[in-house]
Amino acid sequence: MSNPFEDQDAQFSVLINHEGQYSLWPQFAPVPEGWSEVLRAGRQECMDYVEQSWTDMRPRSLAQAMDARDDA
Amino acid sequence: MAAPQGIEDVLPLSPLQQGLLYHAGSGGTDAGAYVLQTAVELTGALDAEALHTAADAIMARHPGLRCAFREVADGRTVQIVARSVAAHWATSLPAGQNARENEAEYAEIAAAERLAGFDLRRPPLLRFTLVRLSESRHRLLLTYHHIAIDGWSLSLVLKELFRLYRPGSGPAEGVEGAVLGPAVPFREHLAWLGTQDRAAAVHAWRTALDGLAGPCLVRRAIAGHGGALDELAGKGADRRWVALDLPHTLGRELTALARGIGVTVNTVTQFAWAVLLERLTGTRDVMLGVTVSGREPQLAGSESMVGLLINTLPARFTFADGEGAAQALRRLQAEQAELLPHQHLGLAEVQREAGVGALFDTVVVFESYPMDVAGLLGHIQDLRVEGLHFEASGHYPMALIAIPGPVLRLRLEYDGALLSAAEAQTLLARVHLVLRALADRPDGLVDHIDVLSAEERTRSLVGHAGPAQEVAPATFAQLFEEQAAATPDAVALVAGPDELTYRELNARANRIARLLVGLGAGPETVVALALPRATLLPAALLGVTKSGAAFLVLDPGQPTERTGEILRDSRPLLILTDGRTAVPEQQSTNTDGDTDRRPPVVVRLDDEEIRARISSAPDTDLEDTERTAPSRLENPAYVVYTSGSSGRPKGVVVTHTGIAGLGRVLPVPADGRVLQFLSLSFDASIADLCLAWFSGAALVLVPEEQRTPGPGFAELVRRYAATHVLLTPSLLATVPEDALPRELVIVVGGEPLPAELAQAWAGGGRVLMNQYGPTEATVCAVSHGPVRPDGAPVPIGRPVCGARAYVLDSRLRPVPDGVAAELYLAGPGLARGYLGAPGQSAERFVADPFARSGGRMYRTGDLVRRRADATLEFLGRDDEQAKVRGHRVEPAETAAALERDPRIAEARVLVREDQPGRPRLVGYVVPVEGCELEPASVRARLRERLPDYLVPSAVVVLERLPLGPTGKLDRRALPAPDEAPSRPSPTPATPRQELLCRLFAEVLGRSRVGVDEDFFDAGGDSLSATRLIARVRAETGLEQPISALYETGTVAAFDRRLDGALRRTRPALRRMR
Repeated sequence: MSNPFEDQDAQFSVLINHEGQYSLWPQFAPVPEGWSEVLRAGRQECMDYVEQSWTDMRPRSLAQAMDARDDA
Repeated sequence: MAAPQGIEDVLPLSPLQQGLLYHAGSGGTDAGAYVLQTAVELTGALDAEALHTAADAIMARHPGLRCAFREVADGRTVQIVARSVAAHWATSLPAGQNARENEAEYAEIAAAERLAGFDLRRPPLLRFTLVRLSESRHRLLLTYHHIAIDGWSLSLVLKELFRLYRPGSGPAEGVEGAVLGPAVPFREHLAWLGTQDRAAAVHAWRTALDGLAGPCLVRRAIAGHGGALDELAGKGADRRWVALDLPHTLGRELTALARGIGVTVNTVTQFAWAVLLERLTGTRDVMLGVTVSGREPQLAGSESMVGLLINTLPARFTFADGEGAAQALRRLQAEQAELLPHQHLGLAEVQREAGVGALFDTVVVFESYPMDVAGLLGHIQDLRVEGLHFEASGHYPMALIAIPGPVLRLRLEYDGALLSAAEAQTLLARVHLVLRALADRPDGLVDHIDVLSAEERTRSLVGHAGPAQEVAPATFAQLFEEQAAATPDAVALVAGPDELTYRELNARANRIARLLVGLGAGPETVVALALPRATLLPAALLGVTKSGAAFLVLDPGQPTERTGEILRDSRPLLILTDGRTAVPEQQSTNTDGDTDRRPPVVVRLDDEEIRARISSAPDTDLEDTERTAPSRLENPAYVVYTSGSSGRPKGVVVTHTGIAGLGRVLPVPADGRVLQFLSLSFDASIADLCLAWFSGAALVLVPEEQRTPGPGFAELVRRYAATHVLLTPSLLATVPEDALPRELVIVVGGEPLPAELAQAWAGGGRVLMNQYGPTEATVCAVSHGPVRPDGAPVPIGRPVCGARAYVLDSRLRPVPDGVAAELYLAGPGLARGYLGAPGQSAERFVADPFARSGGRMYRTGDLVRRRADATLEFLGRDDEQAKVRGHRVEPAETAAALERDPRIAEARVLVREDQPGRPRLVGYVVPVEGCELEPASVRARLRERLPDYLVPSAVVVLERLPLGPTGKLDRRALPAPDEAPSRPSPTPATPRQELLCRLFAEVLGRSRVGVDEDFFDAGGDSLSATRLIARVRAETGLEQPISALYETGTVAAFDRRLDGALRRTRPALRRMR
């Protein structure tokens, strides 16, 4: 049995949710509710994209709450 | 060959006959799976004599009914056709008082006939038994061996039997030819086989099976059934069947569907089974057996032959992403059509071409005989014939038989050792679901066909979720403070001789927290702890969490190189330490160019000035306003490092969301005492803290020097009057049975709990809990217990703490219960991700397709199956990760460390299980050119860099790594570590040395150990050392500390130490490995 996320040759998407969290996602599966697709590419390209884009790993609602306080 | 008197013909065997002979076992009597039975009901006046006469005529008509099988001088088996064989005819008159008694007697007669089997060396291989149930009701039972008669042939035999039946006057000699026309003998089929192009067929099959990854075996997929089934297979030990009549409308719709897209209903049935196989086995490359009639249209009269003409061959179907059902059906049919001219090849030859052994273990049979089976039924000469049924049994664990007729009937024949009747019915229901989906949505995606009913699907996804027992979420600090306010004078901490109440511990922690806040600690920062196991450690840990920062506990026992790596990766703001623990020097410049980050500040908590600052700080609970930012549930509570596949340890960032639930996985009474034995750097220890402190119980922190497994552990439990303890199964295994009080609640986790160990410890009133959960799901996600001491495999249980557990296949679909697939976890316990590793986080914490709210799930990489009682059973890892004594081990991390050795050019590390149940790491290294490598020195070097459990227990030096045809490492070609010592070892000189050699070998799981081989180089570790010391004590009565073994290592040196055993030395420092 092979995990679909480990298939090095498959096509993947990068998904993002309302909290700004990223998920690698195999293209054969429908995009789950609450997530949107930001990239379709090979696995490595997707991983590179996430590495570069997900700079603040705090959930967005937390980051906003914390940053709002900093601004206040 | 000149035929002797009485022999009409000597013929070779067809490929399938050879196969059956193999399964039947050559020579002697076979009463196995290929002894088949068929019965017909005869209502009305019967002339039994006339029927018997007709049977004789049938025997005379078909040479295939008169054959037997004999081995000839050169070892081949041939079939010998006897010139004349009378029908084997028996009449039975049950003496029952009523129909029911007669039925019972009939069942016995039928069973006896089947059990009698057939001596394949003697014709006939068909027996008629006429059972008179009443004046006007008879049942004709035909018992036959499949090697001579296939289903088509049997229907011919029956049809012809009743056409020749002439009540009142038997048929005259030779009349059968006039009535039935000529019958072509079976030999014509064999002759035709001989004329076929074998080479072309081999080529066609080789092409069809090209690139096959492996066989498609349902027996293997239905987990929990071990190898014993292989022995059962073919014996027909417990052959059963269930049947399902599809609704009329569905039958019609399927016929219309098939016609509409240009395939046969047979193909539709095969496809439905293939879909089910894909879901059960998890493979996209599905293989099933199909039975072909073998009656070639080009061979005149082939339809009139009696013999075994059918052939069973593989049908392969490779599922493709995004393919529609109609398209897939057409493809399956087209791929099968390609092979049509090559169906004469025997299965054994086809398998040889594929080279993977048995290709399939299920078959689909579509019963369509040209002379309309239904036409046989009806009135024949005042006699009503009904109840015809052909058994298509075989040695396959499952056979799906589709029987067309007024309704399409599905019959599943199965091995009773593999499935229960209910499970078999469920499988048929799933086939029904697939057929329904095909009829409803021929253009829908194949991958979207659900084999679960809607209700089953809901139950599978959410029905087994952990009770969302409302534990109000709160931060670690809040939960502790609530308890401290509730029971301020209860004992919160015992550390060696020291005891602190909740009030005292809370006050201390508050003071430390204020110091830390002053130094910048707060939410979203990491504070590392490098402290000895004394009261200061838990107080400081609480101080960190109260400041709002995440704690990271470093293990002072682990190599400084790894600690350094963890510190470089986690970049803590502060490192809390004291004079007794050394912290690796931190580089002041960052190699990755991140200039924002300063190196961590090392805070000596024993420093005069620091102590003064701590004691002068207020001891009340901190308010959010005092912190650098409010402490929130979504902030990290702690960071725990696990072995990483990238070759470096990775830090799991765990937030407070799952912390409250963690304290509720087990009820601990307020007067409980939780023994904290495992290292606090191991995240199961966080559960110790939560269990104790959120219940008002005491945490007993075992001092480092007392942390010894084995008999000493029982002493600890007694000394500290512990009531609860969390252990790994490997540690529990070192404790002598019955050495622990019955009242002690034992929780095991971190690795699979062997059934024998569970049996030894559960029961007798003892509560033994088996818990499961990766660090990424906040320690505990699934729990089972109290474990029953029934010796059965112990499940890991059901989700707890509001967790949801999905068991998903390779297309992320929930699988049917009982099917092995990967476990995914969702719920409040999910960690935020891996520290500073967005990519790795995004590939392990992935979108949850069932949450509908943008939620995430963690893919564990663990294979499980859900049992009928809804508990999960752990089956192993889906990837290379392994567990060594409760620790997660990524072989890649060890390999990366090996390759950092300048003497090593290339390294690979494997988890080998040469002894079942004893996984071990083995390193394979290729030295740089011109370098001589000693395995022992390679391991010694690794021990400086890696924790004990990541050091391979054996290192094998190779000239080069074996590569497979695709250029990838050929794992199977890697040798098992050589058992023999690298140089000849002197033989034991004394009986005691001999005894020691035996004990060393026993504990190391080897056949022998030389007197000058080092225990640890031979794969020994702290755990096996404990066992060895216990064995030595038991066998010699001589007490030795474990350190004696560390200091000596070899049998010879240890033996010398025993000489001086009278004056017991007790070294000040024990090296724990």
